[in-house]
Amino acid sequence: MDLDRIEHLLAKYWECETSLEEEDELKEFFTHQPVPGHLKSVASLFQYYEAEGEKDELGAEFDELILDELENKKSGKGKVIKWVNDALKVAAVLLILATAGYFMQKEYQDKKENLEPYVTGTFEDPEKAFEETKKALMLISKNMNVGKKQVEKVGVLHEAQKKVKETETL
Amino acid sequence: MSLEIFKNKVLPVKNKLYRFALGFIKNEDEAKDIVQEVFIKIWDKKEDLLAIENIEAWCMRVTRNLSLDKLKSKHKKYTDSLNEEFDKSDDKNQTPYRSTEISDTMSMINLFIESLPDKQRQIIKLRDIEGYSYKEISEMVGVDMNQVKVNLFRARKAIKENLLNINAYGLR
Repeated sequence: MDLDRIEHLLAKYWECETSLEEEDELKEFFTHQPVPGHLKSVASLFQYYEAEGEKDELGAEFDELILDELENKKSGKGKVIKWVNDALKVAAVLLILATAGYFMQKEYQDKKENLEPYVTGTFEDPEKAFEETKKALMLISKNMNVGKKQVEKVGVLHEAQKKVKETETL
Repeated sequence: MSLEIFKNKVLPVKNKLYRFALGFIKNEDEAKDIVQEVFIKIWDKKEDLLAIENIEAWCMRVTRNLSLDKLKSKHKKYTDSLNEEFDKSDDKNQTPYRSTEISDTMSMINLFIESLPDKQRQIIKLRDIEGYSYKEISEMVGVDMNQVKVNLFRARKAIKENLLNINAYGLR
């Protein structure tokens, strides 16, 4: 290729008047031909463009990654797995809630059954009613005894006061 | 669109999408994630895709939109992104891999292009590295054709001056 044409194209290139084809011509020339001294740095520029454009940064590994992913999508495998995963998550949460609810309900029921006779004041079984009444009366008598002891003390005090008064009158 | 067509027509664009996303995001892992997301999006819309005449340009647009979305959400946690930004600017130009792979002049050119204003850098890369037409670029970047030309002109002019400087200092 004659140098005049290259110089001419280069001048057009700097003015942004070259077409893509002409720019390719320049790239081709500067990457494959021996270049005269005064054009060496311009040659580096076009070699740089060429080298940057040829770089394979992502490589074949990336292709495999993408194709794998698309293959998964195509067969719908990925989608189904995702759907099942989501469903399982929902099911797990529901299971936990249901179990917790069951136990809470049970506990509440137990408590209610134990307390009910005391709250309403009725026992179905006469034996049990008797027992409970006895228990209640025992409780009352126990407390009465405690009270009586205190009253006895007061009684002693009263006696003493009486005696003091008697000795005073003597 | 079958998987075969996808493999032959869409997947080879990956590096262009990756570089485009990297221009916005400046983080290699995140740019990779974006490209992956773009491809999955394309696959989901594979029926509509038959009607699109320029799939490559459309992919670039999707990449741009996703990158901008990501940037927006990233700006909210700006302390993080600030740190990452510092890391990036350091290792981008100084990894031994890069410096041995390309010549001194080429690495200077790389540095210089990276330092151009965002729009100029984006447009000159889309034109001179990826080889897109003005019309395609205007669609990808979201500015009108005139703006594309103006920015490209400025970027090339700056590069030309930079190359003259390199020559003046005897680096060949």
